[in-house]
Amino acid sequence: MSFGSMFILVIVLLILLVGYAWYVNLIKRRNRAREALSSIDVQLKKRHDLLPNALKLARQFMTHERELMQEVIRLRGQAQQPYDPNQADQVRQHLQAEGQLQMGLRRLFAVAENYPELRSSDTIIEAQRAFNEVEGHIAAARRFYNASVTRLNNAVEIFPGSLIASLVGVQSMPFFELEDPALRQPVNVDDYFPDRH
Amino acid sequence: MSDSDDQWAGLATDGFSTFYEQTIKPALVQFERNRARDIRLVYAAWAIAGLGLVIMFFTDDDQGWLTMLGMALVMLGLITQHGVRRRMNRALKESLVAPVCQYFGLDYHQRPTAVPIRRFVQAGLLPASYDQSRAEDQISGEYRGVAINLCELTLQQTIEDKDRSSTQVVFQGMILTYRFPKPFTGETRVVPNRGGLFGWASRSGYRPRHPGDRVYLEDPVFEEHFNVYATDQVEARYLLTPRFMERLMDLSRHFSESSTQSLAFTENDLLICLRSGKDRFEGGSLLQQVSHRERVQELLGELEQVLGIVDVLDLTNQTRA
Repeated sequence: MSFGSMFILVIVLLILLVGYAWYVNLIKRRNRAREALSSIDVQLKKRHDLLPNALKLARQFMTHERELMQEVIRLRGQAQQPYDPNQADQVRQHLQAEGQLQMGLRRLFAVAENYPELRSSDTIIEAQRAFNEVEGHIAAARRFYNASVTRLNNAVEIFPGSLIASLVGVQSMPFFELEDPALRQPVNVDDYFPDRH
Repeated sequence: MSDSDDQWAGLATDGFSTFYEQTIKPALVQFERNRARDIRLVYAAWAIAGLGLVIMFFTDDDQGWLTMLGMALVMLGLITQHGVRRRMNRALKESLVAPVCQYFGLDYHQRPTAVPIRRFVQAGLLPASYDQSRAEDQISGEYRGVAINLCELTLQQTIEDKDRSSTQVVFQGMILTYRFPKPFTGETRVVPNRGGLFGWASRSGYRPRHPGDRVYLEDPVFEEHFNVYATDQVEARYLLTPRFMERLMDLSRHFSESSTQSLAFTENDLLICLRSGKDRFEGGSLLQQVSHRERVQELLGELEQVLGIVDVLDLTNQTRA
């Protein structure tokens, strides 16, 4: 074999090796992101499991908030729909549904503040404490997921990773984002102190 | 708070002035009476040792008994002064450190017997290779509802080199244990980021002694100073919230002298290892008068530094950032 042929062969082998290493790295990052998504689902299930008890307690006192409670039940059902973690669109819908459920729960607890007998109930206090702990874990799982997705998306979207990703079918994954765009708006202090001026 | 309490900065609360007048000051006055006598004894011991040296090196002694006498006097002087100073040091701590700790509802042991060295070694915060350990000044109890246990610790290792051996200090500083308010099941370690080749090695996945995986967090300033390893990525982020990471940076600034901190979350406790050359809770110099408020103020400052960790890290708050 001539020197030129040997040289070309070595270059081709090097390219294949680098390409394989890149592919392995891509798969590792995707699996890491899936692991993170699974961690979120574990925490979200805990939140779903706490809901029936909390709603039962709320129903005893918040007799005029039937619509809100039914909305929360509907959102819970929506969030519990099965999804394919390999499909980015389904993952996005799943995370959006969970975000809407979280907003519903916030509204529920905010309205519960208007019922003193509910606020002072030991059981509801314990339920709120349990929710706060679960929400803390969900926030942590979300940070882990978003960090993993960032690393995956960087590898998928930056050349030459994008080439290898398209060849093997590895896609970007969606972030678990803020549910309510209104939360990004600046706070107007005057809304809270209307008699200030 | 009364005007006299305002003179006690830091930890001192209402009533500390009364406690000082009734309990601490009389003990220090008594110690001061004995100190004057003991210091004269120390000086005398040094004089005896000096005399022994003079006899050893400046006499012409063919039979050798004068040299022996000189050596004996030197040893007598050194052992006597060491013994007297150690007795004085213990007495000062009992007169000053113990009652101040008692005021804050804390137990104090000059020479602790149950020191959790093994626990800190298993958490990767202390070196496993040591031959001798010396612990002193253990303070334990509850501060603002948080269970705490801390002590000063020195670990030494004997190094054999051909036909001679030497002793090397492998750790000097404090080990502190605080009950952490958030429940957790795994293990998370926060260690200084050494950077350079070691930092590259740790980023490349080489982990000489930490369990679990490297955890990369969002705070770039925190990442510059610390590396985090955890058996559970989610739990590590549950414990190390953005606000808590800021508090850990505040903790680094809290200890003004040159020191390094490493932490571990394990079995519902927060373990902190503070590597520092400073010897705390000694009560000050034995050569100077002790019955001054400044002595107590200095001790209060040292206590505030270690107890203040509860406030810096907000360990009293349960479900929070």
